Amino acid sequence: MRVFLVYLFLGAVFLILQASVIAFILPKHFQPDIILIIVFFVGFRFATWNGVLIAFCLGYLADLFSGNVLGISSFALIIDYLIVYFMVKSLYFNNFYPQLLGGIILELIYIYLIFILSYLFQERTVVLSFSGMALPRAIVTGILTPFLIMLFEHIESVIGES
Amino acid sequence: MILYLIKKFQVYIVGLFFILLSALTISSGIKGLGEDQIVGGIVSHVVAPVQSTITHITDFFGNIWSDYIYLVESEKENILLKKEIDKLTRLNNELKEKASFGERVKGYLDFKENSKLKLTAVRIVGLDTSSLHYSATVDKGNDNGIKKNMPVITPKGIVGRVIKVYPHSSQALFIVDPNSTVDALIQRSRIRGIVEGRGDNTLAMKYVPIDADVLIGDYVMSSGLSGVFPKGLAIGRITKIDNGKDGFFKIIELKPIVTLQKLEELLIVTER
Repeated sequence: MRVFLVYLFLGAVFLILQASVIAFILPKHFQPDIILIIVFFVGFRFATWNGVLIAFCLGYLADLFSGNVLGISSFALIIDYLIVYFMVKSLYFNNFYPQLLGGIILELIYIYLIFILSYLFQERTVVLSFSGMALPRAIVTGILTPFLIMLFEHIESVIGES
Repeated sequence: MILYLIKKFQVYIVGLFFILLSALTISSGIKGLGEDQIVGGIVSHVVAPVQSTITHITDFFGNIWSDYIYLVESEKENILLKKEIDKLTRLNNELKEKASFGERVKGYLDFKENSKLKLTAVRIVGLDTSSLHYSATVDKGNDNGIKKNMPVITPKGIVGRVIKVYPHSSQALFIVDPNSTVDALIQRSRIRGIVEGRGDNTLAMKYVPIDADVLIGDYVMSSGLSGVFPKGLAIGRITKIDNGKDGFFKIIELKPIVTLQKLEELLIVTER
């Protein structure tokens, strides 16, 4: 439960930052999805059912912030979490490059899942450019992933000590 | 045995449960900050003031950055000169910022005076974070007379409409969002169609007959028929025309008249 509360709080804080500071500074195709990094971290660090709850709640919050149809981000984040949970048994995510690559791949999956769900449920002409939107966003998220994971590990150790 | 299996696959079982829950929520079509009154209301109450504060803090540190950090090298060369430059740069930046703000405000005031519409000026305090959706949180809500579905504009043209209102903030959906539609007409030939957001910062005009008189560069305006947007507000300019595969309608692409990425202040039409 402690893990759940800590990362839910962190997710909410980062979502506010993402919707204010980051959204004003960076163009849309260079904005990282920080909540995805949190879900990735929780997935390989703790790998419990609590992570599913975190992914669901953060996705729900993300949809609330963005005005999307509720459930789209939750759906995509839980899928991402389950992928990490499945892969963590066979892959080692504690290094820089696996984290970077993991961040990129998970972000691509996340973006395309949202794209497909938006297309299916909103019945609108939604356009998603791979090179113009999905790839730059995934690369930025991937680059940020190892550094944020480092920060989360630090927070984790501080909380653990206290 | 069953307990063992449940324990072994508990993450997948919980995951499946929440995926189904998400799918159910999606199929119900409830939109974030749209119709979810209780949770949306709580989030808005907590988040909007925080976003507003963060925006102000960002502006503050942004000014410090432009005023001081860039002048570190000059300080090394000559302290006196640096102080002078520092002062002049700060003044210059302040004046530029004031001039830019003044120009924008003048444009808004001129528009407000000449317009028959009753308008309320608002400031953007937060932007949507997802890759496909385009909306913004603004700093005025119910207490300032803002209501759902009120048009959001600038002196140049349509920006979007209000989709959710809280006491001190509101959520505006931009016209480029895939959920946005406007009943429109081509200014030159008066041909009607429906303008939809495409989710990539462009717009699509639909249901224009294949033999209609449409040219690249034509301006598209609101028709006033949808009941949301007043007649005659600029929406965009035609950039691409294709014949649809169905043989009945053209596929028309528009560039929004308002540069959405550069918006800071907006006007909400509170009365027509």
